[in-house]
Amino acid sequence: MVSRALKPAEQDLKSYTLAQDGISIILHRDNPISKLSNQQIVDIYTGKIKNWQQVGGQDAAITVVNKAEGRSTLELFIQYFKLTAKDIQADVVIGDNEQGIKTVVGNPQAIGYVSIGAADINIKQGTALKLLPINGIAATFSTVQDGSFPLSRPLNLITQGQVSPKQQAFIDFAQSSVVEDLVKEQGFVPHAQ
Amino acid sequence: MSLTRNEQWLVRILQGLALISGMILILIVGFLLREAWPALRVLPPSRFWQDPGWHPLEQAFNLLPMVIGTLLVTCGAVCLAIPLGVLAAVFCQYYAPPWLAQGYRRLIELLAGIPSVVFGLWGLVVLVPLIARLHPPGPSLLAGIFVVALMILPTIALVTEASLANLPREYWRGAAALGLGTWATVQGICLPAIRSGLGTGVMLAAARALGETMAVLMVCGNVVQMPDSLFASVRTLTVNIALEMAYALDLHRSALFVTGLVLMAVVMGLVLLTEAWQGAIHR
Repeated sequence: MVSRALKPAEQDLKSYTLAQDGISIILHRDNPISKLSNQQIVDIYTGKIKNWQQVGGQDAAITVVNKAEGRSTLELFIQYFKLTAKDIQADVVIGDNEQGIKTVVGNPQAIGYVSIGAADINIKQGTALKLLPINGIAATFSTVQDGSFPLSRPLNLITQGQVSPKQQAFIDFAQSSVVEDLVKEQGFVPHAQ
Repeated sequence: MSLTRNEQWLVRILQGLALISGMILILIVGFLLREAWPALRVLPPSRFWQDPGWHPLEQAFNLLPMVIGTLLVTCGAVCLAIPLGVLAAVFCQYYAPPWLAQGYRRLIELLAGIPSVVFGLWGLVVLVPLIARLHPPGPSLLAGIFVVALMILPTIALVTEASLANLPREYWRGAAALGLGTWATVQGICLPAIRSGLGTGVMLAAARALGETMAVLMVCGNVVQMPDSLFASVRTLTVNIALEMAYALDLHRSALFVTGLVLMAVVMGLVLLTEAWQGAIHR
């Protein structure tokens, strides 16, 4: 299972897309900021903007939450914002999406980025969290679905070498419309559509 | 004196078992070396403390901030846990009425049994937001020290208590004959008498603190940097491995095994230090 498209160096593997997911900025629900421009996001992550006041928020220091090196969310994020991992001035480095969400929920001055699917489930359960649009496009199921959301990624199953009939049957099942409800339950966009 | 046939068998079995336990350690070090070899071959050793930061995907492999982070979390936690653990043991052994001492001991044993991930979760949702209100961002060296101190406290308390309970009764009779009070006896006679046992307890606790991963990962912030205050984020060596191993490839993966080797070296340093200290006591 790989949560990004394969790199050129990985062409010996074959990928089967199961679903689409997006990555977006998350803030605490009580943070008055409702949108940030791409430039502002870059400036926050590179440490040029250190206080929420500079982007129209309260007078409080920004806590920048970044992902650990090697995570595909980090790779896609820096690729989209044309950064390198060295440029980012983080206050907290996290592993998985859930840890990122808990960190932002525990600190109203934090900014992070996570999978839209993961954030969506939490927001539906009443977690004090909100997703910000990127480049003016709201981070929702439908913008990821129609491809207009700029920061999206495929979620893939990957295989190496010959696929056995059993593996093929599983891949077919995982890509079929039978599992659509399960994929949607996770906040992701099913591949079949 | 010659050994009987049965004893010869016993000796052989014991030798075999001792060999196995020794071999396991050697195998682990060998495995670490094999996996770390690609990085050790390509990179000169000085790069592990002179590179500008830890960015394995951009060929920067500085481990020094993480060694410092590991030592700071461990030392901080041990310094916090020693007085608390020793005083808890003294209270339990000499001051508390029997029914309370019994209950208190069970409570500390229970504390020892709590899995570290539970401490981590508690730290993440309770302690970190509290520290964030005091001084943002929250996940910090201080949070790590608190959580790890809580985890190693039972080790120190239980080892200290066992050592105190094993002291000969004559010490107390002698102290009473000299007209010493309870506290004077405890701090003048009992605590100095258990120095060696206390040393072992502290070493066990420090080893656990060095190896602690999950809880530290959840509360420390994990930024690779030299912390400039208690409220700054740190990353320890163990966390580095846990955080990045799942997604690491090639040289990055190999550099994480180098991290493991460095951690082994730090633990070895701790063991040698304790032995030197205990040797000094016995002389």
